Amino acid sequence: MKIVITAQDNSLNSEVDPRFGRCKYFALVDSTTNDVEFIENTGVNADSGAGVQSAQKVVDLQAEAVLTGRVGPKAMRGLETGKVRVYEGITGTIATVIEKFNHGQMGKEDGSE
Amino acid sequence: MGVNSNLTIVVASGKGGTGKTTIATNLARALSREDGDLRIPQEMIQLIDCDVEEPNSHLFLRPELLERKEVYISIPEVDGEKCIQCARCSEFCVYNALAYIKGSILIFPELCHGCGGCSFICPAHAISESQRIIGWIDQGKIGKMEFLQGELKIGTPLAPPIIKQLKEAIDQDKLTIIDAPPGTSCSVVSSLYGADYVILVTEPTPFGLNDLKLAYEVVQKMQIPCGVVINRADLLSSGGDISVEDFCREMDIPILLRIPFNREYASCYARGDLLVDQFPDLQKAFIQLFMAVCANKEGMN
Amino acid sequence: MKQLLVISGKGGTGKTSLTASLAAMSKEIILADCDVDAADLHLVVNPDVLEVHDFYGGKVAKINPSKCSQCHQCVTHCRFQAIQVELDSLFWDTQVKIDPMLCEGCTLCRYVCPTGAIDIDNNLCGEWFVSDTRFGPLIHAKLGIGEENSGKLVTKVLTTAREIGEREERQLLIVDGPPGIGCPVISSFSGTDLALTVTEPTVSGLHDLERVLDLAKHFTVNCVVCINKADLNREMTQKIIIYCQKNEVEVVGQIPFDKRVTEAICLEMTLWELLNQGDGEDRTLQALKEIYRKVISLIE
Repeated sequence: MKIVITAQDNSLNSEVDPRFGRCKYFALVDSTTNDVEFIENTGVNADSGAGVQSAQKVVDLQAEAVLTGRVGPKAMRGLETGKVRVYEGITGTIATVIEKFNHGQMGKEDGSE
Repeated sequence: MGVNSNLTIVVASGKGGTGKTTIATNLARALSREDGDLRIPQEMIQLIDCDVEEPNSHLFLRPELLERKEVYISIPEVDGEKCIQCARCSEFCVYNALAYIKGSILIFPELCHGCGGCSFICPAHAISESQRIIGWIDQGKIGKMEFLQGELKIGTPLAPPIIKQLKEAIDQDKLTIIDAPPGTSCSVVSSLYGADYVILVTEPTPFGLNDLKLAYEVVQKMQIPCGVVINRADLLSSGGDISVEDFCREMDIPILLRIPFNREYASCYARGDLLVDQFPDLQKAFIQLFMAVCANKEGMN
Repeated sequence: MKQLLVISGKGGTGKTSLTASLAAMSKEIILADCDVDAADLHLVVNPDVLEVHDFYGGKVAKINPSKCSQCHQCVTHCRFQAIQVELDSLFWDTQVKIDPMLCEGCTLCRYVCPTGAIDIDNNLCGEWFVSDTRFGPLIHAKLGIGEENSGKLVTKVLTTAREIGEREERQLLIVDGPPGIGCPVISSFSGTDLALTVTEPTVSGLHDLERVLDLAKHFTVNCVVCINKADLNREMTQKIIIYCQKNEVEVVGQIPFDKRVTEAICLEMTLWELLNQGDGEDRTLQALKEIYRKVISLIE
């Protein structure tokens, strides 16, 4: 399955971006092959509705889960409609988050590990 | 000296808390006094509170509120049956108020500015418009004086449409006093549009000066004549700050009135009472303020 | 890093003065001035401006008269009355004009224009700065006249402050928030651990406090209240306290009316710095200490 992690930079050593709507990059991870693709978030500079735009992007990328710091109420509505699971309160580097996710250590969906 | 009794006067300030509402409400009361010197009929005066985020004039004027109208903007509604899932509406919307998610269009009314673009461009005519409340307009009377105020619904970030609608009530034949929101934002510009004169309220501190400069810039850009009221004019115990006075002299902005700081004034305000009702000197001062505005405006023409 | 937001529904309650004093009392902080409409914090913290950045927010339509066919489709479709037909300077012909102050950048005019005469530009609507002060870094901004998007500029200031603060391992971000309950205030809530609401004992003070606390509740932001100039009207102060009790909002302190607040501003110092020159038994000084102590313990 595909998951999206919000990232502050386009490398595996980058930290998780705590913002969902205005994160710098989306790390699109294929959890079976462990391939990672970094996609720049064009919604960073949206004048309004950055969260909505990001939610739409995540759905368009066909991700089934998103791992990030905090998702606002509007983006949440978009993600829920798109049946994307949301893990909030995620910290650490992209590499460690992928590791944890693959080992099923993500805990509950509100992100408390 | 002529009295111009159909002006639209906006009371504004770069900074909140300088006494904008005090000036607007006391001016309205001073002018509407039946036994006053000017004898402008009460029914020929209107006070409009455009500070829709924090409308406070009513606390002092205590109008009898007669009517409350809802203010709407148009927001889209998608007919799922007709929608052909082309997603053009969500691509068009610069505010991201529509999103195309897994075959359906989600609408985020909080983000919509009501431009009508989505319903216009929809090739399947699947989008109609419904109304969303963004605030209210209250209409009332203080004696025979007309009172209007706008109130922004909490959590709604759209003040200008309410202000625009409020200002449709301006009667060009009447003397209109507008209590503007503080600052220099779009709401302030909406309030200033079409004004004949602006009274800028400030206080003699570096904060007051900084914010007066900002407000003056707005008024200059909109080419509206203005004058300054310095509130708490003697606030400083030590030395005093004369930079506001210097700035006005330098820019050739008339100082229309100076109100000293006075604990009795402050507690009168704190209770929600009007200064001109309690202090006869101030009643006179506010009439003079109005005369100064008229004289200044006349001098410009 | 924790984030403390200082707000006040009503302007002029002493929000900026209190922000500056809290900054002076703390260590390892970073400051953000999110009152982008009328920023004043810089006046008391003497920033050394290190970086200046342009801020683009929103879109604005621009018309190319040579391509315009005078069909007036744009005029008909604009919901913001931003496009008008005017006589040209020779009173010979009409001309379509777009008022950038009324334009909301929705782009519908460009869509309906059959001759491609309308371009949409990014709107340069302000500047933001990274500065150094005696208390730590300060991120601040100036919004252009009559510009919208103060919410986006607030977000820019706030996220930049968070980035720099995290990088420099600051303990606390103190944010001077915007007045009111509109979009910049909503933007300033983002990431806030505690909002200190400054009010004054007047009918307007209480009225606006109610509105801003409602807003904070709507966005689930933790709030406490401080009553400034509390001795100016004891009765109203009591009303505010009762209101806060009813709504389960803690009142963390009362500051007496003190002319030295203005004096400090004129001397370009914070009230805390001015009072610290005197003796320790000062009422205002004690009040500031008490507020600081409570706020810090609540945020941690």
